[in-house]
Amino acid sequence: MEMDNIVSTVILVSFTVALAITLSIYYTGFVNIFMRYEEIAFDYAYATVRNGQAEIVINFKNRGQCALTVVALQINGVDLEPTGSDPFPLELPSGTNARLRLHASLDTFRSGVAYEVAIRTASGRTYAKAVVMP
Amino acid sequence: MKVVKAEKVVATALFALPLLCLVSLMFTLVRCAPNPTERDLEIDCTWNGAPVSANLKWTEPEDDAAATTNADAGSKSSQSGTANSKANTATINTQQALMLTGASAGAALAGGGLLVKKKLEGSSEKEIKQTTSTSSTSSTAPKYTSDSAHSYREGLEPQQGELKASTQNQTSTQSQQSNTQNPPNDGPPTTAGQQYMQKQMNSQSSQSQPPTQTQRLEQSGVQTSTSSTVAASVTITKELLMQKQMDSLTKQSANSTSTRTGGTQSKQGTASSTSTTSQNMGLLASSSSAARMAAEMWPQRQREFEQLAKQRAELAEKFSTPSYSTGLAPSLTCATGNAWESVQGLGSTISNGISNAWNAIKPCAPVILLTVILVTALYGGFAFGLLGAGMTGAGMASAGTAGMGLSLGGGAGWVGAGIILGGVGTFATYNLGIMNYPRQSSFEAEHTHIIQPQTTEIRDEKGSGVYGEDVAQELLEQSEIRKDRIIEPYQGSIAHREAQDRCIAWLKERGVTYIEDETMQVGWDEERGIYHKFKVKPDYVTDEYIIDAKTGVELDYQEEFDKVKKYMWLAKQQDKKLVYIFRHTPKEDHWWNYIIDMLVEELGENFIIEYMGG
Repeated sequence: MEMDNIVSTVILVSFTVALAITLSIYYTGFVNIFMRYEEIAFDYAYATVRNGQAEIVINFKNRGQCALTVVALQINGVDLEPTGSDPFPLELPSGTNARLRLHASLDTFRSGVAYEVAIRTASGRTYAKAVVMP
Repeated sequence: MKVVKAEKVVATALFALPLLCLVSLMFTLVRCAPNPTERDLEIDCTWNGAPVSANLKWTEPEDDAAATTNADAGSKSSQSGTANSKANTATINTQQALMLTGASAGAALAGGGLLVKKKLEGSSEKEIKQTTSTSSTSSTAPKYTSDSAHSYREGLEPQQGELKASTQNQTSTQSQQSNTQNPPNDGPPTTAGQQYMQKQMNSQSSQSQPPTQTQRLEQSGVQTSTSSTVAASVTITKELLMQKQMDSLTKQSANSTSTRTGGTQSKQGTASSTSTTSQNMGLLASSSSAARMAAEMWPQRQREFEQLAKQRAELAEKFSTPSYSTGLAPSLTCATGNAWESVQGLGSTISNGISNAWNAIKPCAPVILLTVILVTALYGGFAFGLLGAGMTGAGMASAGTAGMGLSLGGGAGWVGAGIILGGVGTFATYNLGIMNYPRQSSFEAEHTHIIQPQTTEIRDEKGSGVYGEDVAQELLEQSEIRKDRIIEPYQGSIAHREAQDRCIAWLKERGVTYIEDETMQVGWDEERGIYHKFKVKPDYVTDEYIIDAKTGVELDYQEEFDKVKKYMWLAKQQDKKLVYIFRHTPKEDHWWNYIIDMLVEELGENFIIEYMGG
């Protein structure tokens, strides 16, 4: 076999492989656009009393394939209304580990009462976790 | 086993290195894992009027940190739109980067392949390569492959140093150029043969050179910036060297001194490189008369000069300024370069490149085309199938497929367009919330007794809205429909409806005021030896009666027989009378007669039957 044929074969094979890799990556990413899902996983949550104040701690993770846009926080179905600048919408990228701490007086979070803390996202879904105030 | 030359190794390295870099770049783009970034956010808010302090601390990748910052500072109103558009933009950027990387890899591969091919082709033509190595556009140099050139090449090998020196020093001074390109003739020809050869040579040269080429001959030393000029220089320098060779041979054969110094480096180089010349000298010395030998060699030399002249004429025709161009054509032919020739040289370069690439790909073109079509169809079909009827997917897949089918360059453009279309479509899908709710029949149509067959017009003429479009409007219209009417669902036939009306009338005739409509009756079936819970819904149930309306023309014996047995059992259990009202009297051979006989036998006076006639 002549050297030209070998070179041509190498060129064509390399070119085909590169093209195949490019196409596969492109189309995989293309399909992934429409296959992304949203998911929040709560690692743990607890309520406690610290320094004379009630505290609710929730640790969660964005396990979805796309960024999570938090638009509101809720307690027992009632939105927390920011008094200062509105931090929402808040974007949490995929893979983000987050810890939410809520502090209030013991008159607000009463002992023995269950509080359901919910995270509402831009997609319209609500992820809730309930804790009982000790 | 072939020995791999260093040139090939270098060429292969040049070919493989960009490939490795670009492929690694692609994977870097995809697999890059950014460093985490911690963020902390304090939110003062109220909940049911009470102050609540919220603290959110999270860790996110660096790439998305900027996006989050922008989201914080951005518009608060378009929440989902902002987030989704960012996600789409990021995705599109990634796709574009990947496509550009892929295209770059392809281009690098093609370029590397051509380079390798060029290297391999050029390895056997060292002279031209060495001469044209000073030019960046070596591919435009015409190939000097005639047999005569090869025969001279052997004799000229040791004089490459002279050739290089000549080319490099051509830009020094004009006088030096003249000395280099017009070999000095320090002394008059000493022999008749020498005079004859010199005369013939000059005559041949003057006849074959067009005026423009002559000018180019004189200026070729300084036209190294353009490839075409370099090509001409190659040819001309070879002629000059041949002239010098002939001159030297003649002079040496005549025992003249070889220490002539022409005042030029090329002449000195010619004088100093004596190895090949010595061989020729030895050959000539074996003959009795060097002049006679030279005269005998002249016809061959003449033929070779004719071939050279022909090539030179072709070059002159190729690179000459066309007379039809403009009146500015003469002014374009200048000593420092020719714009038209540059353009032609560039065109020649591109043409050669395309030709080489096509020659390399041509044998495997069907395979490449088939591979591209298969890969594109596979992935495009997969993506299209996932997207279903989405116009976004259709746009992207069609654009991508069509583009890849056309060519790589054009395909990249089409895919880019597809990406843009897909991004716009995705953005619209995410933000406009377009959901393809199936059209449903209206509440009124579902819950109104219709005593005539529905037509298409009735079905489309919805007094209510369509579910899923406006829930509030839907509920409002439903309440309007409910307000002043009794809505009674009915799924049976008209005959059954008439029988039901008779049932109600029959009950009212007996002073019954409380009627349960199709209430679920639950009992335990002991016939099978087990307690089997069954559920039946007679048409009407009162405190005293279980009444069922029948058309008298039922077709399903098993179903009716099962119902009858359950009603009969319920009547016994609840101590009620079982009443059957038939809209039509069953024919004599109908199975209803058998069931009625059974009921009469089982229930006796607790079984009441009435036929409406007809």
